[in-house]
Amino acid sequence: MTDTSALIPIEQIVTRWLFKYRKSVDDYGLYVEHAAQCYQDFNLYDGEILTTAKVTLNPTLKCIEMPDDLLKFINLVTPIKGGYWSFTQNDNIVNTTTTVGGVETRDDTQGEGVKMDVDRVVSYGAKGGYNKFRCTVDMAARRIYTDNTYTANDYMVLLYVSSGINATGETKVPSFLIPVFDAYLLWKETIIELNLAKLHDQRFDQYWKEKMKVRNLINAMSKDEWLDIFYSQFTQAPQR
Amino acid sequence: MIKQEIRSLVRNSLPKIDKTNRFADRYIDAVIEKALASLYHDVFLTNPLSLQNYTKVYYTIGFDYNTTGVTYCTLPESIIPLERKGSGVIRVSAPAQGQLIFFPTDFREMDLIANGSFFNSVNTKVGYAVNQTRMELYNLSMSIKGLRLDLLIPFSKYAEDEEVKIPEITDVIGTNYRQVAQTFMDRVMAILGVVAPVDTKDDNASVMTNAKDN
Repeated sequence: MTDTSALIPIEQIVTRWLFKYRKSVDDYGLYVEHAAQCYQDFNLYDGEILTTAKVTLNPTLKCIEMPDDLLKFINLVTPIKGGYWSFTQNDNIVNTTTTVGGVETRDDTQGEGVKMDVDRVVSYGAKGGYNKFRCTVDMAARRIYTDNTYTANDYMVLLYVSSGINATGETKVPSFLIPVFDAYLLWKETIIELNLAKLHDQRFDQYWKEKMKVRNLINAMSKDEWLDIFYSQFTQAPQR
Repeated sequence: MIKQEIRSLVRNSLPKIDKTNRFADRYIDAVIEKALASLYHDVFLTNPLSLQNYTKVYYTIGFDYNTTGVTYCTLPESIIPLERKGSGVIRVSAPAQGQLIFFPTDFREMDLIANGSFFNSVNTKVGYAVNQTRMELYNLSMSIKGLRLDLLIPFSKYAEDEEVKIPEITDVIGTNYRQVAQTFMDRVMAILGVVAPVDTKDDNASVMTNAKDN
């Protein structure tokens, strides 16, 4: 025996909602659009679903092109001894480019793509220490610039939030979100159907409650995690 | 009741003026059609999901593609227009019954969806938009051999021995909307009762003759 799947297609969220609340299928398309918007909002503001993508530095422009589906930049990391080392955002890296003969490139004389603070690597342990892994996030150009320390051979991983909506295949969502979707669609219904306007605030409150319920679920720590923190505070006393 | 029984019920409920002047069948049918259409409208206001009870089903209706890439099918019968997406096409399905595959939409929505929407990315179902004579299909990529259409059709389009379901509603209760409704016979008689039979021969003739009209 197996239980029902933990992931369900987003379309099924809507067909289930129509079924549960005795709605006609006339506005099916409309509510699918709202359900997709709900999922994007959840990913952006509440969710824990990060997209992890291996990215390659453009060796000429010294930057990483953001993926098309990136909504919110979270982190740029590079592997170090089995773990990730995070880049620190530094807004001072020169992020202009120069076009030569119709080709976009970078000009050293204008400080573009030049290595920053050479020979001034200071560890965190010392006063004024800083992380020498730095990047500048240029959302307008949808690029992440680094200085001249890295090459295309360096492994880099981009962590970001996407819409969660699959543009080419089936979009599946966690089934524990069903009550959030239900409440969201009921709330939106009060905006679409004018005769339900009086229920707007009530249904928005319910949506908010469902969202908070899910936030608690996904952010709650397990007993072992709490114990780990608790035990880590212990100091062993000398045995005499 | 079958169609001719309904007409007979109406005819026999009318007062007889004399032995020669009678209501024409076509006229009675038109009145019944009007009364029924208003009843269907009330059912729609009361509970749109109940419209399914009054549909006629057409099987294996073929569809075609025109030169501009529009997939469409010609409606097999005229429909009663309702103020909903899909109008009088209450349900469309594949010959094999099952999950929702078709959903009603309208031409405005089809235009907007195609101009960028989440829906366009996640949708796997087929939308159908209806005008007076045909139904256009959106996103029909699967191979389906013919469609099943559940249509709300006018009284005049039923065959003489076909059963016509009449909604027996007396109250219309919609959201923020309630009124005491007339029954089917009330509505028919309200129209026929004020017209003398002599004027209902449906020939617009100004001079009466002795020829029987039906």
